[in-house]
Amino acid sequence: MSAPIISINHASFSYVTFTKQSGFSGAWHDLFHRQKSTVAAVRDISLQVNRGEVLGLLGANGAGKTTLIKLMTGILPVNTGKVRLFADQVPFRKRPAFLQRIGVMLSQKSQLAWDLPPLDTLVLLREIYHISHDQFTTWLAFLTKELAVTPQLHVPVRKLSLGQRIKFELICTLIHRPEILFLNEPTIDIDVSSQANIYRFLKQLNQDTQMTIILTSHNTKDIEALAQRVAVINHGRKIFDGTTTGLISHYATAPILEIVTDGPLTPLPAHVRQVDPTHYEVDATALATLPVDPRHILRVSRRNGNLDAILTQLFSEEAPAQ
Amino acid sequence: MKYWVTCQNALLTTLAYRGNLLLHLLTTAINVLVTIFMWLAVYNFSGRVTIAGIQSRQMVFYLIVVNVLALIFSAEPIFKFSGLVRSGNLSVVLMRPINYFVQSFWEYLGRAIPYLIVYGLVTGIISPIFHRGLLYGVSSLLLMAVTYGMFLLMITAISLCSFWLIQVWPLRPVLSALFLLLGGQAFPLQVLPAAFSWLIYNPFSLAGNQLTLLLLGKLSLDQIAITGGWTMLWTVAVLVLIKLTWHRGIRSYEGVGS
Repeated sequence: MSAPIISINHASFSYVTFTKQSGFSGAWHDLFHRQKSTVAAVRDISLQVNRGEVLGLLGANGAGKTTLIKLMTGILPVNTGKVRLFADQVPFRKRPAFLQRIGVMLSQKSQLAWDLPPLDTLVLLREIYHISHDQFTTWLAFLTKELAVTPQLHVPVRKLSLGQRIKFELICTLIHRPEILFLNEPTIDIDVSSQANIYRFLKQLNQDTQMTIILTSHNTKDIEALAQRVAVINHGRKIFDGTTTGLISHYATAPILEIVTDGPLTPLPAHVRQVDPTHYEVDATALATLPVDPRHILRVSRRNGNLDAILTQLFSEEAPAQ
Repeated sequence: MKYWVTCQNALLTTLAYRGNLLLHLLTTAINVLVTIFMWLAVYNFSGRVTIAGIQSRQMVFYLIVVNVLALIFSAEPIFKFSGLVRSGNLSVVLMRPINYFVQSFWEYLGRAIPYLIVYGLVTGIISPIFHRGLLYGVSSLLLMAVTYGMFLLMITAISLCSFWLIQVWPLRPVLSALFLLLGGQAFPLQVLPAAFSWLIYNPFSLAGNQLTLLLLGKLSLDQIAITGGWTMLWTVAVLVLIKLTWHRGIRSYEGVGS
């Protein structure tokens, strides 16, 4: 088996921040006695990613997902531990040959020149990444067609919709055909049809080119649609590494089934609790079959049986002491 | 080629806002006119034909040239870099296989091109430096190029303090004052007492006062050589400073935002 394309061993990163007191007296006090504190953003994380894998990083706000991406891409240096990409590349050194092989899309940071059409930025990237004119033309035509933004190539960026801008950001990230693609919140604030378009396109790209994709998102739909594997980060630590179904089965609690019926159930069967006239809960711990006539069931689902519920439960847990 | 495209994009961005371009040209002209009227008033009220050996006509020409140079030798890259650090947008630049500072130079040049064409060409044509023989012309061009490189490196070195200061706007009035006083933008440094004559070799003066004197044909070949030597010395000092501060600064960069 080949070596992992990304290898992280016991990586940690912390930064110094300060708290500011409110009001004039607080500001005066802070001027002379600033209260500094160290925040451990990533704690002792180890992670291996193989070529062609799609890994989803899940975590609440401030959990450490984006910091982990920044360590992998070399924006930040690790305090302790090791991060290596392509077997021997230290990301923080940012060697041109290394940067040529990765693509990074940070949701709140734009590559596009605001006052110019996207094509001008893309031509600049063509020169930066030394892409031949023929390759550039063919690949750009493919990308813009797949993401349905060909007519917008010549429109100034400031006049594009948010969804169109995000698609062009994605094109900027992919224009040099990177081997590893880092996507931080790629579908934030865009409509469902554009989301579906991006999911389909990235899936196809991963299958056709074996591009490794590292994805962070708060939208569990992104993760379920794309990721073959997920790593859950909570308070800077990795608390799970496996498949999405593995995550659900690992954390799902007692089998309580939620049933919606087409009318009230009379009489109420055993083990069934009525929530409202057509909404029931069944404790399925000791049951082999459903105690409700299937002809009257509109919907049945397991509580804590989806990714959102599991993550809500995981992320609400208290932070460990620093 | 990648840097040329950067320059091209910067020029296109400047041209995208026609109103701003015209306003900038106009406000610069007004600024120069105000300073010229002020100095003409000084000449009239003093009743002297020359001040520190400079005639009123020469003073007018000096002020025009030094203010044109101020358009090209600007501190704007400091605030641009500071903005990138503060917003975390530097992360996008760091992810490209490109030297940010070289790119910044070409970008700045691209933005300055319209002003260079309008003001610089006129100054270049009427300047006597190209009527003094090949050696003088080549030496002058060389000095201009070296001075521009030194100035940009100095601005780069100052901009690196953004890693620690985050908010660098308090530097703006300080830099403006340095340009006005040490750069000779408000008055030629030759009017200062002899005890302060060494001030003409400070980097702001090399980019402002000395280059203006050069364009006015007031520097001899020897003086061009001495000015060039000082410029090279400052270049080396600033390069060392950049090397030291970049490595420390990039480690303290937080890359805020996602």
